[in-house]
Amino acid sequence: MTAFLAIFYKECLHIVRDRRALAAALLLPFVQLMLFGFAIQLDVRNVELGLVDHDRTPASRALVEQICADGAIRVSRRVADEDAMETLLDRGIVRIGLVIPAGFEHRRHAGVDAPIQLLVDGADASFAGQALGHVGGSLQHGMANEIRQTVRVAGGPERLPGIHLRTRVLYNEALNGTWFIIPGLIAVLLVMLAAMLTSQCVAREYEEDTIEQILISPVSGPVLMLGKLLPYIGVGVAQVITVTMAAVFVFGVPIRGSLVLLSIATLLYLAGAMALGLMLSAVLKSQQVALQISLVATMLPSLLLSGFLFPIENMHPILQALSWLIPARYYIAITRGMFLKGTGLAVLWPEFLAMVLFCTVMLALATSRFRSTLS
Amino acid sequence: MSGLAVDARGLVKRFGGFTAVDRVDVRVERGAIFGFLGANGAGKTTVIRMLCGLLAPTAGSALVDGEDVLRHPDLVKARIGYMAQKFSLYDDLTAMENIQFFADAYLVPRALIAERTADLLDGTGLRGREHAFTGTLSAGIKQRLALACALIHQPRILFLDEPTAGVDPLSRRVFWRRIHELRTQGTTVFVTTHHLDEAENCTEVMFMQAGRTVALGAPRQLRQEHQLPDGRLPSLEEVFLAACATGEAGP
Repeated sequence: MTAFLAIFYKECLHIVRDRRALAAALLLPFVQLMLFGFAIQLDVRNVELGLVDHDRTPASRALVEQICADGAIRVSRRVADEDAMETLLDRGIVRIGLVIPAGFEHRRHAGVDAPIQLLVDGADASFAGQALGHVGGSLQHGMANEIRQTVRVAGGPERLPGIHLRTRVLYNEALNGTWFIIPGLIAVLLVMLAAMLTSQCVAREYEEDTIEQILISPVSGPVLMLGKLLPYIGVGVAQVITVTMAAVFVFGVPIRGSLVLLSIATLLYLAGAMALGLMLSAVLKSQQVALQISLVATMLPSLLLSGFLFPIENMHPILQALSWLIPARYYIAITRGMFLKGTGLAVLWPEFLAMVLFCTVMLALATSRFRSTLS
Repeated sequence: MSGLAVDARGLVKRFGGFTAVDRVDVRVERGAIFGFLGANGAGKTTVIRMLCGLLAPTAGSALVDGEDVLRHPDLVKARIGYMAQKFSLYDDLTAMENIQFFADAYLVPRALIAERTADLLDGTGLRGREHAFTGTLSAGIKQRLALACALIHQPRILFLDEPTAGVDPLSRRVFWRRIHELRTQGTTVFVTTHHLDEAENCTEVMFMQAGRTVALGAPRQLRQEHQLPDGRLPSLEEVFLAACATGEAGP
């Protein structure tokens, strides 16, 4: 215990004495969450539409109004012809374009199908898909109303029996993408910063030759590793507090689950990431290399394989299998559950179990990879 | 229990295809000041590291303070003090914090720390600088601090790997006075050095070359063994050079 406290206290001194690194560690997650939180935007919102209206009739105006009804899409440019529209799309000035041919109103009144053309910038496939769905939805909605109207005018039944879809969106009522993004973003930032923090602390002892004096002492590997780990968990907790505050107060993400459970999950997550950093540090023995490897080992898998941006169900089976190894997968499941749904341990226990496992394995690896002899 | 402070037999250490230490025996009497000499790369540091349990030998065995280093490294570690060739304390900690850290790492009882620290500060002339950051101390003071840290748990055997490299002559003299004091208190000192005048201070010296022992004995005895044709006793330096020459010629 005394030896543990000695390492613990020494490590705290290292952390506190390196003011700049400490300031960076405390500010960075907040700054990054702000940047990414505002930058990553998955919703169809503020979409600029270019319009070519060859018809210029009440019917064509009504159509545009219908599409822009909910405010997500707005007409930002009106141009004379298709060539001008193409230029707009090429230059990225608008991302979707609508062409209403002449005779639109005439054809409709004549009871003939009236074609219109929608041009979508498909470079961003996910955006294109969403924009298409959005426009399609608006049109269908409008058409259904028209059919009812027509039937009624023609003396048909007052109410047309049909299927009425009543959608109720749960957990994220406004389909606010930010709410969905922020918990995932926090998970990615935390694992990355946590592993990077601890990736330095064993390698530094090797680089500055202080490791010999430690190895020669009776301090055992596990004591050294735990003594080094815990002070950094303290730093990690400070980071968590800043980003959670930002999530709640800046982005308005609700916390609906138990705060205690969320804290436990976060501690597990931090400990696992930090043990990973320690292990890399002890194995690689170079601050520079350990920093880079821990960055690559945490950031990319957590971004790509955790289900943060891309649903795990859509991945190739091999990647799906790989995603089981990514702690961010579990943490994101837990935080999304906790922040948005208020889910408890009854549902999330497998995720908790997985995180306990990851943390234990990483700690075991860190202590066993750290040999009490020089190579 | 062996009566020797260090009893190592047939130590071999290979790094890949390179044999750094080749069948070396080391026997150090209790209370000795054992001088360990040799050119750079002769294998001195490797031997010390094997004796301290920092490196596992490829072959051979070592008893340190009667304990098998391979089997009970923890028992050995608690009883030895070690000062690495390169300065290896924490620059961003103060002198006191470094001492305190090693006191705790070696489980020195709290009640004893204050008393021992005071003794060490006086004995090593560190008083007045104890709250300075270690990184700001001069090489001579740093070396004294490293010695203080290596002594805080009152080891029975002290291993010093080139403790006086890059240290001015005055500090070296102060340092050796300290070594002699330690010896009178019953500590065995195992020291490597390049300074042959320092070797004269030792009760026994061992010369190594290219991983092998080339000469072993008390300084006076070695000089007598290598008596010059004109009857004059050679200096240790001459003995060292002669031993290295025969070593190079091959056994």
